[in-house]
Order: sequence, then structure tokens, then C-alpha cells
Amino acid sequence: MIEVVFGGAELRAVTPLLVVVVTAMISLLYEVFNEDHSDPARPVWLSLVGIVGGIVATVALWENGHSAFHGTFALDGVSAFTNVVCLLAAGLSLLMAPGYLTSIGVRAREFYPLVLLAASGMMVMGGARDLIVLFLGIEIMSIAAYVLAGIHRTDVKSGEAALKYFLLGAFATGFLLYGIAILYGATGSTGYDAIAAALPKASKLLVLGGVALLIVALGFKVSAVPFHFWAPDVYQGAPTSVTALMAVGIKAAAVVGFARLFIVALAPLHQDWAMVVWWLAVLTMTVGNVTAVAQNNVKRMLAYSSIAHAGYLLAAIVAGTPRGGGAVLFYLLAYTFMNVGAFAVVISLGRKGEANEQFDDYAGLASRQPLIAAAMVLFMLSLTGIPPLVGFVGKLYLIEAIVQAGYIWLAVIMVLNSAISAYYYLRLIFEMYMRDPAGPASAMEPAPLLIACLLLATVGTIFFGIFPDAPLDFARNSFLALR
Amino acid sequence: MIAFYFIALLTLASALLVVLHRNPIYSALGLVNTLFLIAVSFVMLDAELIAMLQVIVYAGAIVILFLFVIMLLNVESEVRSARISKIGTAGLAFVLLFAVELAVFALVRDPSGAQELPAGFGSTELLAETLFSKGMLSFELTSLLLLVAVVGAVVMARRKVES
Repeated sequence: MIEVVFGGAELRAVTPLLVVVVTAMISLLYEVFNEDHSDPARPVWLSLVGIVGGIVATVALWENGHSAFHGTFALDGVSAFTNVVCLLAAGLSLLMAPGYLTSIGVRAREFYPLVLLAASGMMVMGGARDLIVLFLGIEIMSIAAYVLAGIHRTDVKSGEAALKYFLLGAFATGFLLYGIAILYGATGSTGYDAIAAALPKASKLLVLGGVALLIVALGFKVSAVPFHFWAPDVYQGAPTSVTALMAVGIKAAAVVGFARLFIVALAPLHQDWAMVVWWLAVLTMTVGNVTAVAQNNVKRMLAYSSIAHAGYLLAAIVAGTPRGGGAVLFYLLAYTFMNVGAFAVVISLGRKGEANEQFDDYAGLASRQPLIAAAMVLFMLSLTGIPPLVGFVGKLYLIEAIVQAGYIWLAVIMVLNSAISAYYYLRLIFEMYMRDPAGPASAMEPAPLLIACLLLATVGTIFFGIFPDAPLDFARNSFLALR
Repeated sequence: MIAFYFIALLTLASALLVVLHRNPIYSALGLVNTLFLIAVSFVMLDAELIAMLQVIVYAGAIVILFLFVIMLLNVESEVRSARISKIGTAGLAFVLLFAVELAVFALVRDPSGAQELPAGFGSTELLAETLFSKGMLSFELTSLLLLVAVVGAVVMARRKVES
């Protein structure tokens, strides 16, 4: 007799996901029948309804200790936090999309449902408590991201970005599946709890081989050095609103997937993987920061900075404690606001036919666009980690968790790296305020939705910098409840 | 045991035919044969459903598609070049790598941990039961994955680029 279980717990777990996916399908179908393409902003509203609906459903339904589908998926505190961060990232990049896509000549309406589908993949990753579910989440998110990176079909760089991302992503998927298969062979299960229970008796050689492959695959998704080579080209080539989604949402989902797998399922092996991830974190933040110093393109600089931030997040995962996990979650929220904000500014300077992405294009911006320049200053300071902005608080708690777990040197290296990063973030501020504009001032106003996006990012950067307690406590408690 | 070695040798021979034969049609037919023989191995492992899927999906659908493409494109026999031999070297390296890996797995295997198969192992009923109980979410998510892939393929392959 087949025992199909689909009860309250299951419905609760998938409702936020269903809201987002169903909205994506409705918006796909709507575009089939919609003949009127006069207003480029119209498809955004429907997608935003899905995003808000997903956030509301998550906030209403999450519950610590929750698990559904035979323990393979959960809507607990950690996945609720991930859902909110990823949906926020998707929502903000949707806000900046319509004006920007029109200006670069992309009229593919599938953009909006694809962003929603990518977000649904991220939500699956956040709640996955089983390697197969994690794999499916990664693939749903990644395939949507490959297409989004190449959605600017007439631009060679966008196509190059999509192809590079796709080929290397497929390669990483191979590693992921192989790692899952070996771990399954060693422990006899793909569920996190069962893996943790079976680890002490399993063959160490097999388990370590599987874990090494998983580190490679997940390291690719979070763009950790030395698996980062795709990131700068893809981030620079993809349309900027997609880059924002990749740098924030995809990274957040991958980091949470990484954290949950390593802190929950592989906790008994902490001694073994901590050393590997330690080196990964140190290499990632150092290479990211040092290379970012040499960049002359702002989008590329932000790509390397996002690699460096992946290093900071990995460093807190090394700690392996609930405190570290909580700090990671909070930092992801902080990173969403400040980094999406920075990309929104990059978009607001673009004109038809010219991207204006070089550092020189920012010269004298303070006199041309004082408000946008001020917002960029805020985001750059927050990314550097200057109080009282959210980036400072986030970094503080990351370092606190790392020190508390006894990794003093890791904390020292991280602080030194922050000092290096100050150079290139402050350099942009210098360009905007201390130099005279190179060309004639253009008086184009940013689209209203883009202004909304900038405002939200600014408010988030300041507000959570001053009042970080509520989300931070939430993040910590949700990781504590995992044990 | 003899049956296993017989099938394994035949599988190896037809796999070699795939990579060594110059005519792509013979290679594709060799692939059909290889996949069919692997299906026979699955039957010997009590995995009848997998064997059936192997025949239907791989031998039946995918390789036939290969054959169609080869015949439609009218691919000629390959000309041996320096590049091919380079790929051959890489292939040899991978063969060695897999041999080492197999040896490692064989060494770490703990024969005392081997268990009796549960009743009905590999049967369609048991697989369906797992798929709709333990694997229900994965099963449904796979359909979402396919939807994303289809939408993505249509977006990327559309001939008319609006601008």
C-alpha cells in the first residue's frame, strides 16, 4: 500500500514556493495573450505581487523545528530568513529592470517570470534538508540564471557570459552529483539528519572524497577562489539587473545551502572540513580584494568585491557554530541592501548605447547627480564596513562568531582584507567628489521604479545598521533551533 | 558469474567500437549496443525497471536521435588529425584515473556490511512507492526544473530578436 503523505506540514512548507511559482506561470501565460506592449513596466507589477506574496506567506507560516516531506524540506527559521533575503533581492532587481531593459533594447518579457523561477530555486535551496532537494534547487536557480545572463541576445558580451556560466555551471553540477553519489554510497542516505547519524560509522575515505567534491561544486556557486574564474566575466557581461540578482540572491541561496549542509549534516566532521574551508575563505577574500584594487570598471570591481564578500561569509561557516550561521544570515540581509543599491546606481548612470561603467565616468558625479552620488557613498561605506551602516554591524558579528569559535588568525586576516577593500571603495567616492566631470553633464532622470529601488536599499542600509537586533536575534535563534 | 564476464566483455568491446570506429554511424550503433548491454547488467542486479528505462530512454530515444542527426547532416568519416590523438591522450588519463578510483573503492569496501536485499527490491512498485512518499517533493521539483529549462530554451533559441 502506498502511503502518500501530504498534510498540513507539507502544505505549510510549499505555500511560499507555490505563490512564487504560480505567479511566474500566470505571468508567462499573460504574456502569451497580451498584445499591448506599450508600457514596459506592466509585467513588473504582477511579478512584484508574487514576490510580496511569497514574503507574506513565509512570514505567516514559518516555524522552528518544522520539517515536511519525510524530513527532506523545511520552512524553519533559516529557510524563512533565506526566503525573505532572496525574494528581497529578486524584488529589488525586478524594480531596476524595466527602465534598464528598455534602454539596452531587451524586450524579452520572459525576463520577469524567469526571475521569479530563479527565486523559487533559491527558496528550495534555503529549505533543503536532503541532498537531492538541494541539487534540484541549485539547478532550478542556475538554469534560470544562465538564461537571464544571456537575455540580451544582441550583445556579444551577454552571450559570452551566458555560455561561460552555462558550461562551467554544468561542470560544477557534475561535481555536485558525483559528490552526492559518493556521500550516499558511504552513508546510505541523502537526508541531512540520516547522514549526520551515519557519519561516525561510514568509511572515512569515501566520505571525505564526497565532501571534497561537494566543496568544489558549492564553491563554484558561491564563487570561492579558486573556482571563481567565471564570476568577473559573467557579472560584467550579464545585464546589470541580472548581475545584481546573481551577486546577491544566488550567492545568498548558495551560502545558506552550504551552511546548512556543513553545519547540520557534516557537523561530526567539522575538524576535517574546517581546515579546507578555512583556506578557501582566506584565498577567496584575499584574491577578491587584491584583484578588485586593480579594476577600472565599476561593474567588474563589484564582481571582485562580491568574491571577497563570499570569503567573509565562508569564514563564518568555518566557525561551524549556530552563532556563525546566524551571523552569515544577517550578513546576507545586509549585503542584499548595500550591494543591490550599488548596482542600482550603476544602472542609473547608464545611457542608451553607453554603459558608463568606468571609474572615469563617475568623475564629478557629486555635482551632476548629488542625490545618487550620496547614495553611492552610503553603499560604498557600508560595503567597506563603516559604522553606523549595516555593513559594519554585519561584519562585526561575523568576526565575533569567528573569534568565539577560536579562529583568531582568520579574524585578523579578515580585518586586514577589509582594510584593503577600503582602497577601492573609497576610490570611487574620491572620483565622485574630488574630480571634475570628464564629459558634458547629462540630465537624464532615472526611472521611478529605479528610484524606489534606490530608496529601499538606502533605507535598509541605514535602518538595519542602527537597529540590527531583531533580524540578528532571529537569525541566531533559527540556527540554534537546527541542532 | 560467467554470464557477467561474458556481458562485461561484450559491453567493453562495443564501447571500444564507439570510440575507435571512423564512421559515426557505426559508432552510434555501437553506442546502442553498449547501452543495451548495460541494461542487461541492470537486470542481473535485480533492477528491472532501470533496465527497462535504460532501453527505452537511452537506446530507444537518445541514440536514435543521434542517428537521425548524423544521417541528416550527412557526416563523413572522420579524418584523423593531431587533435584527435590529443583527445585520446586525455581519454587515457581519465581511464587511468577511473581505474585508480575503482581500486580505492574496492579496497575500502566493507564486505561484512553487505545486507540482504529487501523483498521486491528494484521492482516498479517499490520505486513508485518511494517516488510518491519519500521522493514526492523531489519528483514535483523535477517538473519545475523541466519547466524552467523549456522556458529558457525557448528564450535562447527564438529566432526573432525583438529590438
